[in-house]
Amino acid sequence: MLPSIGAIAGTLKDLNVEEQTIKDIVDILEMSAADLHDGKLKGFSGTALGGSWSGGNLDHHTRLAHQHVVRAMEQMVLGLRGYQANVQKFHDDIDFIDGDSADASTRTTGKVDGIVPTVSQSEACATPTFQNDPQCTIPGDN
Amino acid sequence: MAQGPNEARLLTSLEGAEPGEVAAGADEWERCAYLLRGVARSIMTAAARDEQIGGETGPAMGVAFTKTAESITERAQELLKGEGALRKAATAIRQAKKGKEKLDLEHPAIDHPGTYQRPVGPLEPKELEEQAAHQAAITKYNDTYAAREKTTEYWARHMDDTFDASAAVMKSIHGEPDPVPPKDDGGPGGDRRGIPTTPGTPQGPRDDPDDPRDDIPRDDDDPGDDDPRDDIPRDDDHGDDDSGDDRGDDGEDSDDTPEIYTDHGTDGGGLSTGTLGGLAVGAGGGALALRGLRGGPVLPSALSSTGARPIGSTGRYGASGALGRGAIAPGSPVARGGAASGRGGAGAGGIGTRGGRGAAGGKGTGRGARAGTGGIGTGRGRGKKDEEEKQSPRDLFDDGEDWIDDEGAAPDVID
Repeated sequence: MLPSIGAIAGTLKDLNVEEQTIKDIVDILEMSAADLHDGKLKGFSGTALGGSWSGGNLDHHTRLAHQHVVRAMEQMVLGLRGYQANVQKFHDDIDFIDGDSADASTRTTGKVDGIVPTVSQSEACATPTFQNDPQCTIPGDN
Repeated sequence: MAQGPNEARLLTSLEGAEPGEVAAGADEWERCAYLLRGVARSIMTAAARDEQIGGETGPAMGVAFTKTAESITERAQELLKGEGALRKAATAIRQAKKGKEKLDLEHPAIDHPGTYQRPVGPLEPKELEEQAAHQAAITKYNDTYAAREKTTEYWARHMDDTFDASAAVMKSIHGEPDPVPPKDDGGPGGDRRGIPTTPGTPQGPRDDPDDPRDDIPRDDDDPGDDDPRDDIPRDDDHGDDDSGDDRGDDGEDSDDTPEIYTDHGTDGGGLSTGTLGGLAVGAGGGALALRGLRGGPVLPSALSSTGARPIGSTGRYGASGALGRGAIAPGSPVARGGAASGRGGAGAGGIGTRGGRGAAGGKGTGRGARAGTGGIGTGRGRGKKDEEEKQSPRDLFDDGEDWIDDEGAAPDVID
């Protein structure tokens, strides 16, 4: 039995919303990653803290912290780009013209479940701490 | 005017310090913090749309995005802490600079009035007036010196305390442990901050048997002298016999050799040739200690001696790491450098201080004067090598060890 015209129209509408949502998310991730990439933390001259021992000590720890922050932000960029790749893949895998199926959720579930593990992998990159230096790997980066 | 240890310390702290640059660094940390916050908000927006995606992927992404946004927000908070730490450091520098400027206005450095030398002959009323005027000038000089020391000590400490607190914040951000300091060999060094910031003006606790200041004559008990150091508490309880008896002649002995005072007032505290010679040692010792404080240029020697490698070090940053606690630790070449500086300073302090005594009049040539003469004779401070190579009679009373060794050979020194 063929689906009704109304059901088809509703499915197509859902698909459009879904596609737009995915595009929005991809844009958000892309822009965020670009902002982080372009907005690296800049350092300053250590001599600006003067010539005392405490000044040198503060400079030392500031530089260490700066390095950790820069590294963490690089990891965040990797993580967000990993998310972006995942969402893009999810988008590509959706069979938008599956006219044989009346149920959109059935249509997508089988393929997108494969995305979930890679989301977790990206999450490891996207949630770094400054204290640790996680060596995350984005799927497909190798 | 003679530069006191605290003033020297403050000047070192302010050397090259640029509060504007540090504040700009704080701005940068703040900018990144707000950048992260913005990114976190965007990701939360994306997370909120997980239901529109559906399946298992939508919720999984929603959870991951939320977690990411929260994590990034936490990182932004840490950046704001770093920003605050740098902001406080910049403020401390700015305050200290202003404090120093204010001090220079309120208590400008003045030249030492020098020694009053009464003309030969019967005492004239005019001479009494001159003596009174001279004494007033001495009092003003001492008051100024004390005021400058008090104020500079405050600002130097304020900077150190602020920097230490800021460093602790930065440390909490990067989370790296301190480098393991090299084993203390019991040598001189003590508080790293006590390393002289100016050759000849050692600072820090005076509980070191080799403290060169112990060689500097100082008569706390003589209210008539003008030694400004009398106001500075000290701790000599290390059994070095520095009880005052060995601080030179009392000036009452007819055999006492009158001290020779050079132009004390204008040369920065009575630097004589010998002093300058002593200071020259600073090129190898004191200067090294100074640079050790800065952390950078002495990196190779410091590292080579301690074997300590800074974590993730490059350039000055690494140097600081190496020197953080360890490289200028006791026993390291840098610490030795500081000690050498102190040695040089012993000559300097001896002569300069005797200038102060001269103001009181009638202090004979004491141990300090001899030490000063030793400085002149050698034209250098006294490194260990010198002590081994040159054991002239003139050196006999230069430091504690020689003092003990040659105690019997120098009965004239002991009253």
